[in-house]
Amino acid sequence: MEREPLRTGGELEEIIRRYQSMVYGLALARTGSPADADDVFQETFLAYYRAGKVFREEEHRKAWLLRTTLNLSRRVTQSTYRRKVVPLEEGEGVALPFREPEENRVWQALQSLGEDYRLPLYLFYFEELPTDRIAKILTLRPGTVRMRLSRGRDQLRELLKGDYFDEE
Amino acid sequence: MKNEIFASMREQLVPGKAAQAALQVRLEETSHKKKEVPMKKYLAAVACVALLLCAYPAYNTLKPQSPKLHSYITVEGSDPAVMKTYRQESVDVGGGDQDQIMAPEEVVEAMEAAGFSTEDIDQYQALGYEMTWAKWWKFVDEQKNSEEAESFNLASLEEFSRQELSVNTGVLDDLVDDLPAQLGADGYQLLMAHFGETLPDWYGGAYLDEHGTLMVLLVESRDPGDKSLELEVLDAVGNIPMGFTNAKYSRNELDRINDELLHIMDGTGIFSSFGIYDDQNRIILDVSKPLPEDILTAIAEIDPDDDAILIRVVEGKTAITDEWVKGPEPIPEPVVEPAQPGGVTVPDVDAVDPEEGEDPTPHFATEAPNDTPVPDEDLEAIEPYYDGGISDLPAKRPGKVESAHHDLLPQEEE
Repeated sequence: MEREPLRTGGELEEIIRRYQSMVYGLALARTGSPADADDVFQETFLAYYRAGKVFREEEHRKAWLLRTTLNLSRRVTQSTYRRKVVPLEEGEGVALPFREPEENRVWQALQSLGEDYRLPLYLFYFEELPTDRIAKILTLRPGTVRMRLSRGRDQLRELLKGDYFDEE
Repeated sequence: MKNEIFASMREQLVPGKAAQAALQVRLEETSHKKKEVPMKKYLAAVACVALLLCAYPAYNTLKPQSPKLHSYITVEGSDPAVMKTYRQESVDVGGGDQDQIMAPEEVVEAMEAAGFSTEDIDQYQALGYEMTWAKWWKFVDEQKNSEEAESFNLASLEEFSRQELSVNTGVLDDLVDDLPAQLGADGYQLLMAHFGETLPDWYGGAYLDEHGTLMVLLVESRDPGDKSLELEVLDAVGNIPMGFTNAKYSRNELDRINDELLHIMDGTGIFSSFGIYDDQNRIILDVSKPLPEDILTAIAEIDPDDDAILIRVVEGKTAITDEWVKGPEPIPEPVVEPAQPGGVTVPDVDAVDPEEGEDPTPHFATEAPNDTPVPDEDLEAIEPYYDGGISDLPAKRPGKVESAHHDLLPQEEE
């Protein structure tokens, strides 16, 4: 990684542009709060810049960012301040980030699932990662991931009354 | 599930503009901080090094100083020859090239190789010169370049040895080195007469070298370097051949240190011998056992540079004689007993206790009034003499004859 990332057209800006949706989306799925997701987004890329790591392949960079996003999200949600203060979104209802009502409905259904099912589903459907890579990111066995995907999909299908699911 | 809806949702999952702007700001700040951090690290490292550099001398200055001890060497064996060899090595180390004295068999081998006859070799070795390897090769080189018809002859080797080598026997010392030594001694007397009662501080001492030449030591730190000291000495000595060497300590300083050393060693109960060696410009202190620390500390105080006094601990030495300092004592004349008839000696009559009664051992007649001992005729030794032929010898060897001494032993009671 170059140490001149902040210039226009620098490598860091390109990386932020390329992965900001992934980082922000995973943080939002993990924390459920856009404000926390914004914080995690900043902290993740700051950590990336400070680490100065050099990756042999782009997949490694992507995996590092996902793993760091999850760690920082956990730190935010488990902090003492976060546990004592109820986020504004939770008190007044989460401000949904999507334009279409059906999209917001799917997101709400996803957020209503437990974390064990929510994160594999997000990584599988939104980031389109295979189960073995999801297993590595979540430090689970691939079989566990497949089981959680299956159960999470069943729960989601029930919540959405079968809508948005291709019947295979 | 329908992938289109997830793709659409993923595109809408972007952080807020405020978060993106905040990230840019924080990245800028981090970038500046990252540039400052190495400078701080460098400054901290420099400060640590400077602290160490200052702290160590300060620690050395402030820490309680342990008393400095004077050094000493241990010499095994008590043979004065060992000490002589040591002194020679010490001088050689300070003087430059190392040279080794040839062993007698090496001299024989070298002379044989050079073509000397056995008689010449024996004759030369009888003279007692201490030939060294360097001198030998010098002699060989001179002979090879000699224009004389007969090189490598005994006369040339003797002449060379007389000029170059010291002699191993006292008798030959006198014969060979007498003249230059006498000249050197005369020069020394003239120099002392010139100095009078007070020696100058630039005078480091004087000695006669192995050729008998007077060598005068000039203290380096007090030599102006304009040859004025050399000229003063030469004026005092006259035409006597002499040389100069450099020294660190003046004779006055060594005298003072010697007096203080005497004061230190006096009453310690340690058997010691010491004196000023002008040729080494130092005092040599020989002791029979390692000195305790308090004495070494006291000696270190009077010899802070640790080079004015050489302490030698001679292991296995029960007594130290002046032989080490003054050289070997002259061999005492053998006690000559008056010759007695029959080859017997006269015992000390006074040693016989008259109260013991009759002495069981054979006794001799007392001295005659005219001081001529008269032996008992019965106890005179008789040389056995046989004037017959071999055929007249008895067939049987005579039996063992018990000695008179045995007969006179008291018998034990049964």
